Amino acid sequence: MADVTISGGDIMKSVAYLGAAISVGVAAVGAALGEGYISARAIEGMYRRPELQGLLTRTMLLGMAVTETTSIYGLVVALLLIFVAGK
Amino acid sequence: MTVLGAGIAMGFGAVGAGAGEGMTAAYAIKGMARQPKVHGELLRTMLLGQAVVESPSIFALMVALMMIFGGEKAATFAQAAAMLAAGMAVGFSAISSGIGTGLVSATACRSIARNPDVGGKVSGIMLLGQAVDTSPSIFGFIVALMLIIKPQEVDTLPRAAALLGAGIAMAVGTLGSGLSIGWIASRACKIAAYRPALTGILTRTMLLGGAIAETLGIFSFVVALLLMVSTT
Repeated sequence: MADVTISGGDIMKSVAYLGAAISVGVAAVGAALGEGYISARAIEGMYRRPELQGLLTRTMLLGMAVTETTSIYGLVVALLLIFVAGK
Repeated sequence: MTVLGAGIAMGFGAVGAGAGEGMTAAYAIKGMARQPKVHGELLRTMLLGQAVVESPSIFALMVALMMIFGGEKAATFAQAAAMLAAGMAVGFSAISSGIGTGLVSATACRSIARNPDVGGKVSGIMLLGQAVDTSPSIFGFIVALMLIIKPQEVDTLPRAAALLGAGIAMAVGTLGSGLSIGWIASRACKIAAYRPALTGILTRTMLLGGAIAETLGIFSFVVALLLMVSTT
């Protein structure tokens, strides 16, 4: 490493790779906790009103899909950083 | 850097398992005080649950031992980054899986004490939920093994950053999904004690919710794999 000169482009790529990791990682934390909360509440709802399980499952899936989009933003940004900024 | 990586792997890897097994034992003891008649079943459930909670920290132990005795000296910058990243990937991913699976087996012990008749159904839901909840730490383990085993020929700053990034992605990306899958499965174990007739629909909803929460860990896994195979 010592006799290798580091160019500005190398630094840009390195920062892009680290940024991609942070982007996808941190974005997943909040979405995962939110999805866990939704699903846990849906299960509790089935305890109170077992006859509503179809509606509860549908609403749970819809809510989780919307929550999931936030982490998909993180994934898209990470892929952009790897394949556009990192090349 | 190899030693530092091994230290990170085992130190953080033990946190989740310690907390999870402690919770499980606490609820098993509380359950025995409440229902001394079913102490045998509670003990069995506790040990079964704790065995699964233990597995993320065993992954961390294996990676740490491989790093210490593997003979890799981390001579280059990229190799050092790979060792540090492997430690982070397996160590941090074990935290959430350990706490999550511990939450599941703790709730299972509580449910059995509350309604001893449903012991078999609750243990079934517990093991299924714990199996799904272990997968974030398995992703971390796979990434760590790939980082350790693959020799790093390319030694540039971007390559080192990409390898370190793979470790960071797995370390941070799995923090949420392990906890949330554990939360979902623990609710399912709790409700199964009150309404045993709902076991089928509870299992289905738990697996559905767990699968969706799992995808978030898979996103990080994909990004980590992309960062590792990029040849720059």
